[in-house]
Amino acid sequence: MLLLPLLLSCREEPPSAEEIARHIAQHPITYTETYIISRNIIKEYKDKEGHSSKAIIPLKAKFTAQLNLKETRQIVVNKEEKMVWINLPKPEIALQFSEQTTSNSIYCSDVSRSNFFETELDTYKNEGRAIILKAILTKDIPLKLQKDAAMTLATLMGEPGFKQLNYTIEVKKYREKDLLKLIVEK
Amino acid sequence: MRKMQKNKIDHPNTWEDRYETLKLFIADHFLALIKVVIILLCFLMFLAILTGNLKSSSSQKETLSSLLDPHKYPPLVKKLQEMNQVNGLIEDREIVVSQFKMLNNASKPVSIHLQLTGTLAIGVNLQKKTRKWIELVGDTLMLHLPAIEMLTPDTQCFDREKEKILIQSGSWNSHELNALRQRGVCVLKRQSIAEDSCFTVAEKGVRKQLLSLIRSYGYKHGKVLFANKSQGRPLIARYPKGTIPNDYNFYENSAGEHFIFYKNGTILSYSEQIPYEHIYNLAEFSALSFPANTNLHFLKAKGNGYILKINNPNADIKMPETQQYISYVHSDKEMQKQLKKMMQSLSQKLFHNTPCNIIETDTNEEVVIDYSKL
Repeated sequence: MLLLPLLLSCREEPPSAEEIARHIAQHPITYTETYIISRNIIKEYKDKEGHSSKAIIPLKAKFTAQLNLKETRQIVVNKEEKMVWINLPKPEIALQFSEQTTSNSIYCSDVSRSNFFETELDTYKNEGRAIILKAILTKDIPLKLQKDAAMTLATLMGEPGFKQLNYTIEVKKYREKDLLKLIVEK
Repeated sequence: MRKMQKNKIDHPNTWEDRYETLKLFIADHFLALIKVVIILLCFLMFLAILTGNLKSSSSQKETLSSLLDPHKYPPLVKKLQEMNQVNGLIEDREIVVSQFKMLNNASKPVSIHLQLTGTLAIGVNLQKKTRKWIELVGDTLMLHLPAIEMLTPDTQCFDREKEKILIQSGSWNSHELNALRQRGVCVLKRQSIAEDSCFTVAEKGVRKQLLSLIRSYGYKHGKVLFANKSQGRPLIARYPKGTIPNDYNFYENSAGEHFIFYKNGTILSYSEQIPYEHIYNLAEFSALSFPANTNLHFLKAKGNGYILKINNPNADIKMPETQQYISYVHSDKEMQKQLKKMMQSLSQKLFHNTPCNIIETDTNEEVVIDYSKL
């Protein structure tokens, strides 16, 4: 086992994609970013006396973005040109909405209005979801995670037996549409 | 001749004879001698390895003092030295801070609700690490880190460009708005303190990141330990003077009791074991504007709550933990009407998570209510 890197470094044959994948898999490194996002929805309506009133509805969500280096599967090796292309695995985003939005958490400028119907609350929550998802999309978290992972990969590929190749690690910038597919709601 | 030689060897008399004897002995037992030398060498090597191992196991727990020599930094230590802080949790919050005030001859209070968008990072400040922050125990790299804390300075909590006035009645000057912004910092931090899990989530996040880093640099095992949580917990008393509304002074005495003083010297709140959440509520409440010459005074009520005494006009407000009540007394009917409206607004602001009842009396005598019986 100890002699393996030494033997790999001595041989002329560059490592195969499987060997590189196995080498990466030996390092179960996970990159994580955790966020709490809270947003307010403002609703305007007329009160009983016809005056315009406003309600402030707070919404909150927690999300955790994760990238597991062990999941790196897409590796292409060109032995003649001594080139390797590595595609980083897709990050996973777990999203959890807080269930705290109730009539009591809503501030209303019309003090006579203290109760909200369930259907109203559901509408607010759905609107809030869209706002929070938008906030997540602007944060570029997957890019940050990929950059961190790429730095680690560069260190791993500098080890004996692997450094005779030229590596290209592809950091993908996800479009909004693709990013939404990565989000798993809990 | 040979017999003579043999005779000399058997019975060596001179140095020459002895030399000859040795030469013959070597010639006869050459292979055997080689074997002995090899065995001896192997034994010595074995001994060297054994002593080396013994030495390393005896010093299994050693600090990486030699590794901390700036000229010999291993890559991981160098990387950690370069990192100023590690974020475990980032809070991106929109909060609403409100201010009420009664204008002279007005029938109802005017208010402003300012929305502030802020980002707060919770994690570990690596610049605060102690001298012995890293050690190697066997094959486990251990990091002794300072406690989890809020990393964003108060001045950088909010993005002024995203500030928005949601609801406004009456006019508000820049001084009042600035006081509101300062209170926003207090509210933002309060929300993080109230949600205790924020610190736990942040701790998990930092631990996960650092363990990944340790493994990526080839260390088999890693352990990340944090200093006592209370050291990094942002107690209200730790807020330096003037960071929450200018009118307040926060003070903590040696017994760990917390006091909030209003600008005129009246004690607004005192704590025996008041939850921080309540202190903040009191602080927020007291930031609401009352008519001129109003003195506010919080007292501990019988039972499980607090009474706010307002000398002019007279009023009592109680804030128990389980169910919230507000009571007030005043002789002047018009003022009572105004106060009722004001209290209704305040009750929403103060007790937004629990139902609130308003108790009304029409006497100006000081009323002592045993709230535990309500």
